[in-house]
This record gives sequence, C-alpha cells and structure tokens, in this order.
Amino acid sequence: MKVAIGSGKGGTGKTLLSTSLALSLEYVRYLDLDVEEPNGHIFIKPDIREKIPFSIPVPEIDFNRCTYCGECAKACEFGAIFVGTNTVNVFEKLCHGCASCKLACPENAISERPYVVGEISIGRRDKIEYIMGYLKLTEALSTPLIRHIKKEYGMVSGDIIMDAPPGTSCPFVQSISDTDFVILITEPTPFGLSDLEISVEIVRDMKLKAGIVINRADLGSEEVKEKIKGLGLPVLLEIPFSKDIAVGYSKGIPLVDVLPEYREKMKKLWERIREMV
Amino acid sequence: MRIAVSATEADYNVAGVDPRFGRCSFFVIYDTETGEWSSFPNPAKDAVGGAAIKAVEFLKSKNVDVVVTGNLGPNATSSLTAAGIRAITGVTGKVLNAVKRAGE
Repeated sequence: MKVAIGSGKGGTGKTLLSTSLALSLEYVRYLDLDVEEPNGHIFIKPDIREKIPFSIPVPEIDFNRCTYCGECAKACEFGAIFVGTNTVNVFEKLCHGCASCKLACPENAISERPYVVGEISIGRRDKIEYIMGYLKLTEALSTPLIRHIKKEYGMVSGDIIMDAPPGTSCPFVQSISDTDFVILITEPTPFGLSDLEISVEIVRDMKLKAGIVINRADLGSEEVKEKIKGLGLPVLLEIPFSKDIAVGYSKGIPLVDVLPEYREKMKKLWERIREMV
Repeated sequence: MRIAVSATEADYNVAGVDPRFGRCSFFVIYDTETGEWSSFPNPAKDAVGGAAIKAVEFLKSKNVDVVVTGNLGPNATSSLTAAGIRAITGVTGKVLNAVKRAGE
C-alpha cells in the first residue's frame, strides 16, 4: 500500500506523522519526497549506505551543425533555450529534461549531457528502508527528482510511506500521483484550512482516496474545525498541541518516543487506511 | 537604431520606466531613424518561468538594438548578449526622457 502524506500549508506535521507511522509499522519503505528540505532522517536516524547523484539530461548544442534557426527554443515549453545571432544559451536551471528541443532540431545538432541537480540517499534503520531525495542548493526544479524516486523506489509491493513536500503545486501533485491513499495533515487555523481546501480539491480532481489528520487539534477555533470536518473526507486522527511533542520534535525525538501510546494509534490509523483502500 | 524601454504603460507620452525587465507591463520601442513610436504588451509578463529570456526573444523579433530598463538579471544579461542587444540599466523616470538620453 502506497500512502502519501501531504498538507498544503507547511509546518503542519507531515514529517511528524510520516516518521511516526514508519517507526510504528513492520517492514516499511520511507520515501522522503520533500527534496528541498528532507528531514525524515533526523527522526528515523538511518544508516546511509549509498548516495547516488541524480541528474537530468540537458541539451548540448553542436555548433558545427547549428544554423540558429530557433526551432529548439520554440519547442521548449520552459524557455530554457535562447538562440542568439551566433550563439545558443542553454539555461540548465529552467530545463525539465524533456528532450523536446532535441526532437525539434532539424539539423540534428542537439545531444544530451547529464546535469546533476541532486542526490538520492539510501539507508536502513531496523525495519525501515529509508530513501531520501535531496535537491542541490540553487536548483529550483524538484519534480524530476521526485518522479525518479517514485519510479525507481516506489514501485515495489509492500508498504510505502511518502513524505510529500508542502504546497499544492507540481511537486505535491507528483508526490501523490499513483498512490493508494493520501493523508492530508492540517491544523485548525484559517491558513491550515485554506491550504487544506486546495489540497482536497486536487486530491478529488486526481480521483485519489484521502483522509484528514488534524494536528495541534486543540488550537484554533471550533468554527475552523467544523469546516475541516465538513470537507467530506474522514478525519482519521487528532493530535493535540502538546509542549512535550514540540520539545521532542525540536530535539529529533519522534512523536512515538515522546508519547509511546501513539505507536498503537499509528498502527490503527494504518489499518483503517488499509480497509478504506 | 531601435530603442526598447520597459514601460509601465502603453502610451509613451505618460509611461514611466518599469524597473523590471522580464516582467514589465509594456515595451515601448522608438526608431531613431524613422522617428516612429510603437508599444507592445510584454508577452512574457506572466510567464511561469524564464520571463526575461522570453522577453529578449520578443525584442529580438522586433529588431531592437538597445534596451533601456531598471535592472537585469543573469538570464536577461546573457540572452541580450547572445542576441547582440546592448543594455542600459539603472534608468528611472519617464520613458520619453529615457529614450532621449539613450539616443545621445
């Protein structure tokens, strides 16, 4: 069963929930897809045995063949190529590695070279297989890395937990696509609700099964909480706003070690999701 | 010589210099040989990414020789260089004055 944990608003507890689930289950694979700032390892503390660089193919121009016709730039959906009067600029940071330019070139002047944008770490801690994507600083495109991790490490049978990035744009969509269930974790504040509403819309649009976990459930107003419950998705769990959880979190101590009774709750949550899937 | 100014409005008589290049509202173009003014909405204004590059592509298609604007980023600078378009940056105030100064 593949389950993604997303939130819309950042800082509502995606990693808190993802790591707590992973540490409570038997034999699970953990994919940290929050590649701009992966932090699951702080709580899971895996032994990393391998680090693999990740690159995307970017165009390389053969200037002996190029006629500066500009077809490559026209084909590029992302404006990553600029054709000048006697040179061609490639903007690697805008390139999605789709190869449209290569296909569009009538002179066959474009080949591809790898451009490293990040790294994948692979490790283990007891029964958790841990895979983390890391996008290099100054790089802006996380989607190809997320797609690659899901394709390479997310297609196995068994239980997979995916810690999705915040927001509701492409990286989030990429993270939750082809999952069996999406847990949306939120907090009962107007910001939490606003982003949750967008997330729910996306999940519905993608026809994915989903449920809600309310973190810091005793914060905010009852009115907001009622609205969350009125979104039409089941509320699977409520986690209180507790100083102990926050202090533990700040020290890298997972929720299930601060409050051991949450191991049982996490197992139950997982079983309930399995029934819904 | 064709001078393009990143402009806040289409009307060159009232427009100010837009400090942004890639996402400016309009490009006002003045041709020093014919004395002709033209203005175009910037097609890159709402681009998802790489706005400056698209803007330079547009100016290149309009046979612009010089760009007058507030500030240029690295992508804009390298694209302008590749296109052989000169740039005058740090310009503020009215488009009319900017063009006059650039012409000199």
